[in-house]
Amino acid sequence: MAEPSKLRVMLADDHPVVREGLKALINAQPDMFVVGEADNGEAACEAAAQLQPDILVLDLSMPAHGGAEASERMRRELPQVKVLVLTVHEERVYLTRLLRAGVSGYVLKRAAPTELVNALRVVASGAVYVDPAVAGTLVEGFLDAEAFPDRGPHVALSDREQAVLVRIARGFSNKEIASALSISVKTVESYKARVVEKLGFRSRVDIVRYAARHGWL
Amino acid sequence: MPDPRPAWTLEDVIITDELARRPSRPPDYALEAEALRVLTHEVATYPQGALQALAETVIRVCRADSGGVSVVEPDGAAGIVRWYATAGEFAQSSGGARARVGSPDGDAIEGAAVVLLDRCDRFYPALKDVKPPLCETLLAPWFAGGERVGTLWAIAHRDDRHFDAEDARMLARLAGVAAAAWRTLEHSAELSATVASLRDAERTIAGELQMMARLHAMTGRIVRASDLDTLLDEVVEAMMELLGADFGNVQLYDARNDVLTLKAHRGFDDRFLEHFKAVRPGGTTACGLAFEKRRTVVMEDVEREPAFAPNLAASREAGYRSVVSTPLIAISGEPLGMLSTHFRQPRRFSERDLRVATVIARFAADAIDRIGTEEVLRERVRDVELRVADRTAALAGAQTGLEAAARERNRLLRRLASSEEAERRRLSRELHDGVGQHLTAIGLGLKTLYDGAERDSPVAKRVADLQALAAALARELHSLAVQLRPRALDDFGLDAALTAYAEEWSQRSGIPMDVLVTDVEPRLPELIESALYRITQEALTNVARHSRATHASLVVERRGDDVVLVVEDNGLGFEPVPNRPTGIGLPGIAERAALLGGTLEIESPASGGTTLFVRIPTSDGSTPRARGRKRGDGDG
Repeated sequence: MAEPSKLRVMLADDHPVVREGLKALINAQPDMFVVGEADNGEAACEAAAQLQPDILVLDLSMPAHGGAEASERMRRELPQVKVLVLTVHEERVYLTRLLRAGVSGYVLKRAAPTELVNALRVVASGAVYVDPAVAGTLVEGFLDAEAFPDRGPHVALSDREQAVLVRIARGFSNKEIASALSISVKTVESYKARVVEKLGFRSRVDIVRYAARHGWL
Repeated sequence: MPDPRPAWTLEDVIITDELARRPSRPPDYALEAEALRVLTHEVATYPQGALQALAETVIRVCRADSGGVSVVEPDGAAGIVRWYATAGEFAQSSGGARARVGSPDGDAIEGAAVVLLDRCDRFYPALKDVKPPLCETLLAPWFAGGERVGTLWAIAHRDDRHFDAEDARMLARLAGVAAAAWRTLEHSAELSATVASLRDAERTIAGELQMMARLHAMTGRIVRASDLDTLLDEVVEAMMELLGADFGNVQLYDARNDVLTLKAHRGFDDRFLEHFKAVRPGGTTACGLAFEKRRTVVMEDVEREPAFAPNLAASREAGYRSVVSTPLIAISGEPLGMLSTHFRQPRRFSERDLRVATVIARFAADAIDRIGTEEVLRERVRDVELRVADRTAALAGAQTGLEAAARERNRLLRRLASSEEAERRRLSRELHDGVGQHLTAIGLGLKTLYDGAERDSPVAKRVADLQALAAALARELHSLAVQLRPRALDDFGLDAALTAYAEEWSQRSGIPMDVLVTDVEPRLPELIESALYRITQEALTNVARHSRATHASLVVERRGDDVVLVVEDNGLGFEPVPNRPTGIGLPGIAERAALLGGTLEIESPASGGTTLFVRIPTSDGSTPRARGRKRGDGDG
């Protein structure tokens, strides 16, 4: 078009008032402008094929073809168009799914007034932008996933200890284990305490993972 | 009288050269400096008065009898010259204007330097009869931003007063001040217009925000209201507060008798209540008409409404003149009743008033609908329980009938739980997609305003405050929506929702925790997912409140046909008595599990810590979950 050096942005949001606000904000910047708009994901993909914007700003929760489907489709059909998702969701699961779907930016709606313009510039430069308010959870999840594999040294368990551990991992209560193994509840409790201490476990979750890795479940 | 052709040309009256020949007083730099200092101060502090001060200074430092500032204004082809400020003999002539062509100040603008005219009325016919006479006129053009803007002038009205080179020098210096004053004036006019428009916008937005905050507070109260009377009182109060009304009431529609019955009110006395106790749809009242037409009816002044006449005695007694009535309509389209507010004085209603009334009425109708459904279901549960009791007495041996009745009871209770989840889900979405979107738009509007305002100005600071307020409101709104029903539970299922909740809980309580949710694909029936989520919430709330634990864990797994949820902490532990009434949320957990045919078991060893086992059968008559279902089954 007339200004090839400016960043060409397309908006997809089902709420006209929000769209107007975004448009005003973007058009007020010297280095970017809005080339087109859509009010659902499907229309957004079709319009993007026509207009070939640099970046598509996509609302995650639109009726009919929400943002998640639209970003998958964009990656398949228009990989050269970068997708920046705008959303109210702060849970990690949304972020990770969308990053896997290939989006380049993730901005919370409540932060849009202050973050969006910066995010657009970052995404335009080829980098990935994640809203600082949710970036932290991404790191936490990463660390959690790393945390387990081998906590403590490898220790051999006695048959009884292993029998108790497996039943704990299968979700049985101490009382149930006691009657299944014909021992007292107190004994079950002390086996459990010993196993946890020997293996350096932090919680029941470690017990379940350990049992699963040894194929005891 | 024939117009005598002027025998004089312009060249004849220009005597600027004389200045060089006349004896002159020495340059008075001290006077110049003092005059410039005073004028600069004037320009900086009160630009509106600067041109007048300039005219007065001309009199003083150029020793003139009259002095003034002329400015060219566009008017026709050549424009006019207006006297913006005058002092001395011509002090009263300020504001006067003449054609630019054919006037000495108009001609002087064309030049580049000071000119001196001798008896200029000889050349300018328009000045012929001016009194006192224009003996000598000294004029200096001035410019602003490269444009010719005006002339500064000094006049001697006496024959014996002659301007000298020093007067001309002073006038030229003062002309420079005129330019500065002019530009400051233009700039400050522009500035105050900008500030005024920003103030307007700011007021509007502050009003909107305040209203959003109130609506937000009100929806929160409605969501929490658990019985009809509390709800209706909240609704009347909220409507009155938002519209600034003196009275208010809610009527509910009794379809059997086709009548609107007063259910909640504020501000009315007994006689009014008697008159309006039961109102027929249609007819003469605002509420009756609004109900019949299914839309808001406004009576700005009941004394001027011919239709209202039969009710005037009652309205006068009650003391109101103005009323607005909005129908309460359920999502199904079924009319539920009326919400009305009344005012002591006649009142005009803005578009925003009507919008507020509509929004509140919609929220109120939804909540009334929800509570109504719940009450009907509870009624039926009670009914069945009575039947169960009856049969227990009468048919001690008829085990099968009892079991069927018990199943029926469970089925109804499950529907109650499911309707509650559906309602929470709907409200949560309403908050995100409705109110939340408006807040986003306001935030974006404020950002544009902020970028347009001058840095560090009071307006910019106010706008920044409002931005912070809008962001805080959005955060709060989001957390309220998640509290009502986490969207992740619908979108991604139990694992994602529980992991997110546990992370948030850990952060809030400061207790680290591990989560393991496995084997929940294919997804569990919706009722079980919701129950497990709520049970986890209740269990972890207990841990945070009572256990003094330093670590907690959550495991959810499928074991055969059961799903097992285990919450464990390493805290104080307690003597488990599940049915104990003070049982800190445990009866709630037991009830939720029992409703789905499940069990709760609690272990708390003497060595410390508490483990909570919940087992729920996944094949207990529940149908497989329908994929992509958006709403809970209200009636199926």
